[in-house]
Amino acid sequence: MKEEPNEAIIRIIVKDLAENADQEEKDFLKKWIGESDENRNCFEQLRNIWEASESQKNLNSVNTNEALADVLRRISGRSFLNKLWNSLGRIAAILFIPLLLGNILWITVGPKEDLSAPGPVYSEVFATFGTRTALKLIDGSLVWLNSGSSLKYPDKFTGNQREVTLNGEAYFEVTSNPDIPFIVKTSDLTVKATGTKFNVMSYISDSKSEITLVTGKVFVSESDKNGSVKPISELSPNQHMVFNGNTKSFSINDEDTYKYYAWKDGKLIFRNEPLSDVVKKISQVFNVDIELQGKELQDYRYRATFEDESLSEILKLLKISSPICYRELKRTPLPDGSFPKKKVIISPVNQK
Amino acid sequence: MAKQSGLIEKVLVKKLNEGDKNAFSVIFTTYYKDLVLFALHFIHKPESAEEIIQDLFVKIWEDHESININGSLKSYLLKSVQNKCIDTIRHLKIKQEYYNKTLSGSIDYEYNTDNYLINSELEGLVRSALAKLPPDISEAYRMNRFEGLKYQEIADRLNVSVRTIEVRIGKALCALREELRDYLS
Repeated sequence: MKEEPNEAIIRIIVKDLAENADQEEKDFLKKWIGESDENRNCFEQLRNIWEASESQKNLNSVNTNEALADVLRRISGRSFLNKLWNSLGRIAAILFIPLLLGNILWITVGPKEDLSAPGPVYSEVFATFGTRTALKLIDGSLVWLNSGSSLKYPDKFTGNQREVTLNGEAYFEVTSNPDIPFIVKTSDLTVKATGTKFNVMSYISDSKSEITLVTGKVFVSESDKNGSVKPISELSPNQHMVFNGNTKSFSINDEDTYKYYAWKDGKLIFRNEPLSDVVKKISQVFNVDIELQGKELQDYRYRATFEDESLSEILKLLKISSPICYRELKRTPLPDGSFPKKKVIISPVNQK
Repeated sequence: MAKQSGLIEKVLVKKLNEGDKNAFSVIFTTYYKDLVLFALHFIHKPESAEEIIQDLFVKIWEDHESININGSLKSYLLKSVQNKCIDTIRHLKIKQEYYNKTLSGSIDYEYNTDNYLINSELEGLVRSALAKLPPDISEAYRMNRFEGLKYQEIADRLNVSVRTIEVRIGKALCALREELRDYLS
């Protein structure tokens, strides 16, 4: 038979949950809980409701996407190193090419003389954070890789398509060959082109992918691990598509697209973007942790073009042109000797 | 709500076992904030709580092939977080920032992770249940839980005694428990 707990014990529970109970009350509560399963259940349910009612406001500083990116980085970091040691034989070259101001170094990578490998040899190119890498594939197609991105490509294209795999962001200028389409595979999507200029952004850590078509035509499909392909849409020049890998929804906009691939020219262009997006992009390019404080700053619209500026210069410019101030935090080494990412805090002027 | 996602969860867990990073990422983004909130009951610093959850997920990925999740994914995660937090507290020297303030308070009682409703499950339910209560009862509860005011502060604002606030909150809590009966077990 269910007996509702009396008011006195409820009051003690309410005090205890708020850490207001004194020792005598706590002992009394402990004893009451121990008296029966029912009492214990009652307490646990009340505590559950209490705790789970708390507003999630305290958690504004928690950024799930960034946390996921950190975790994925930790996971990949290990397996990448493992893969590297195990397969140096198969991989022809791994190149880190920082792009100098305005100058682009073109590298054409040839295959290792590996006679035991009958098929094409795959290479993987990385653009480390803060750098861009450009390369020319064996068919003459050009690829610019953005900061923190990687491209896997073969030393020769055999068969009826030319296929590369991308994680991150790259701008492609594909040589024309309608019989042998050029395919870019990312974790969510497949982009097919015959002879065009286009930008693909698809980081594994981000559920959002974006494709920008400059000239020519591309066909975008959803791809999954099993290799099955589901067509999504065709893009015409000056169209920008955003695809959500979680909801599988997408949108296509006709707009001026240069800002999406201006990075290849060393430019960061913001046309009326909210400051929160600007900060996110800068964090990504320079691999720093930038915290934007102040509700009013999140949506503040920003318009600027940065060309090959350093992080310090960009921060100084931001400070001059918007109501912000910033603090670059000193990096202290962690117990294991490594350094965490550099952190910058941007806050509204007039904040204490 | 829990029953529907049960099927999706089974698929996610299966894919996780198969090494599907996308499934791993979906599980992560679905539960991360709730797990951090849960860890905060044991460990008061948000950065430390986040670290613990992230370490836990790294380990989950490392063991993804051998992980055996038979019951609910949520309970598995909650239990793992609880264990990890308790271990952390035990292994560290007793520092104020890590050790829960109420040494002999409610944290003595381990959580029943099989039946625990997490924040994102409860938030909507609590709000609609509160709306059904008379305003003088729900008011104090709201001020404490949603606005973060302490009992004394609420008492001062409403011009009553702290005891009155405690009683009102108690009534709200019991009424909520009655309303949410079906979800709680």
